[in-house]
Amino acid sequence: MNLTTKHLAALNITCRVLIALVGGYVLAALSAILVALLLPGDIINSIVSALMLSFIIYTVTVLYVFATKTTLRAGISVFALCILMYCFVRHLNGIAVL
Amino acid sequence: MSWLHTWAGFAFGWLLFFIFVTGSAGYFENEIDRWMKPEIAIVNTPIDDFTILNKAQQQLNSLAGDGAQWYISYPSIRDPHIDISWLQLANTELDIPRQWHEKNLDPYTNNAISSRETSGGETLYRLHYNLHYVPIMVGYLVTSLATLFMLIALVTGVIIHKKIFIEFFTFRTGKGLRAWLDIHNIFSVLPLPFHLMITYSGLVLLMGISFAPVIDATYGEGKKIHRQFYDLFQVEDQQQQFIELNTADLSLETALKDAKVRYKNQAISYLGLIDRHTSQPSFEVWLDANEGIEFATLITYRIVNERVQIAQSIGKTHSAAQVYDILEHLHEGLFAGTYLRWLYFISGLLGAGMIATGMIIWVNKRKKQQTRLINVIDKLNAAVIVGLPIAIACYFLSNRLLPSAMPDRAEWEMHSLFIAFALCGVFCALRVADKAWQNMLWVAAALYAFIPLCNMLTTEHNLLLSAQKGDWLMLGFDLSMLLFSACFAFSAVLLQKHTSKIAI
Repeated sequence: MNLTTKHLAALNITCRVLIALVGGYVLAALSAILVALLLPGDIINSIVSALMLSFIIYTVTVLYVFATKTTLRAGISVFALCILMYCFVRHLNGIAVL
Repeated sequence: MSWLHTWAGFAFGWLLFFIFVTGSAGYFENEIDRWMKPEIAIVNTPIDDFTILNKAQQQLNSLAGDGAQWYISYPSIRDPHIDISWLQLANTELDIPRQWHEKNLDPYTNNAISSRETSGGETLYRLHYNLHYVPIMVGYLVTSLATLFMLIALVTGVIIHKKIFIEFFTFRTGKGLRAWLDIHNIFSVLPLPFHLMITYSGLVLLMGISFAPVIDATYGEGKKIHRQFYDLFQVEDQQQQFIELNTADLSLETALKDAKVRYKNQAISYLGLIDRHTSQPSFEVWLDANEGIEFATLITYRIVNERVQIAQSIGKTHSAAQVYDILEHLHEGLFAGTYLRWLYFISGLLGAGMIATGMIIWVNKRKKQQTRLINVIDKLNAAVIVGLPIAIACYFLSNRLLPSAMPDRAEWEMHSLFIAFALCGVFCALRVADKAWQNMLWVAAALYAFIPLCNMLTTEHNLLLSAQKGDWLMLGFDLSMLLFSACFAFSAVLLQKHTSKIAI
């Protein structure tokens, strides 16, 4: 019994780390792409501003993933946000989402 | 949050310590360079700008008559010496590769001096983002990831601090773990703005690589397109005007004369002659920037439509590039004068201290478990935290002790650093942890004390002579080494007292 709880805890932590690192990166990159596409004016300015912002999004995502009550909830929220961002990006690029 | 702080800090702790220490050394890149080139002639009396130009041109004419580019570096406070460099174009017939040459110029004897082959301050500070032995991209990505962990550790560190202001003034000595926590807080909170600035700007400097997919998706994929993106991003607005000067008279002398009239109070940083093998050469005058955080300003003279035109940058075109520039300048601190430079260096070392104390706390909290792993980490902490300074000392010593004609000498200086680092690891692994810390601290103290001595024995420089000749960089370096030695010895004595107290 004890061993399984321990294993579960380890699995839980591993999942959170993966969601935070991989999910956080994908979310930060997608949001940066979205910001770059949405910002008005010169594309170079937009891209650089978006890149500078990406680290803040990444950090906030990591904090969120570890501050949320359950791992499942953290996973679902990050995943859902990624999908949402992805659809927006496709839409802005004039590509049909589905 | 506390969990995240602990593990985000721990995961890349050793690498971050390495980044902070080698990066801090970078603030004294030029000063380290001077020490590692003991042959060069120091200029400490003011010399007329045109005299320097004449002497340098004489040398360049005889040494680099076919050089495609010439540069003459003027003496400054940080680099009180005259250097000439030139670009040798590739010649397939004679089997000469395209390469840069550099020599130091002694204005008193008119000799061109070649200094020993050395990796210098530059290779040392580049370690903090290229990690030397790994492919450059791997170095960038690994250091970026470590820096992200640093940012997370910093932010969570602030969050878990409820009484940040009170703890700022709290230091409880001799209380074991409590004392370590207090010192960790001081190292973290005192220079917190520096830590946040250096971490965030470090991430931004490499953002084009760590977040390359964003550029892929918005601008275009491939190395070439990315290169184009950077070039476009860094474009500068130019102010151009024609001046009243005969095209036949355009030379480095006339360019220098004109620039000195335009900017009376600014010192000359260096002069350049570009494309001198073509019919369209351009003449560059670089001035020391005397305000703000810019490094230098450039005026270019060239012939356009049979008239002499001068061009000057009036800043980056893109506003985002201006923000990026501010972050870059803040990170590199090239604008800093002596006092600010020391503040940068000390802040960097406090950052290293913050990481080191964090690692020590991590071990101390788990020492009661007495597991093998904790024990090994304790030993490796000593191997990294004291071992890295030892390795850097060996880097400096190798500059004096390796034979001057040795092939790949510069590269072997770097190897010396890593060999010493590895030996520290082996030594610590074989010792009991407490003993390892103590021995390592004494070794570090001895090595740093030996550096000025070795300088005295192998070159004509010593503390007294440097003071007499006004060679402040050489003197400052040697004295700093003695100061480091004293710090290590002091730590060793403190640790000795502490362990004997516990033994009783």
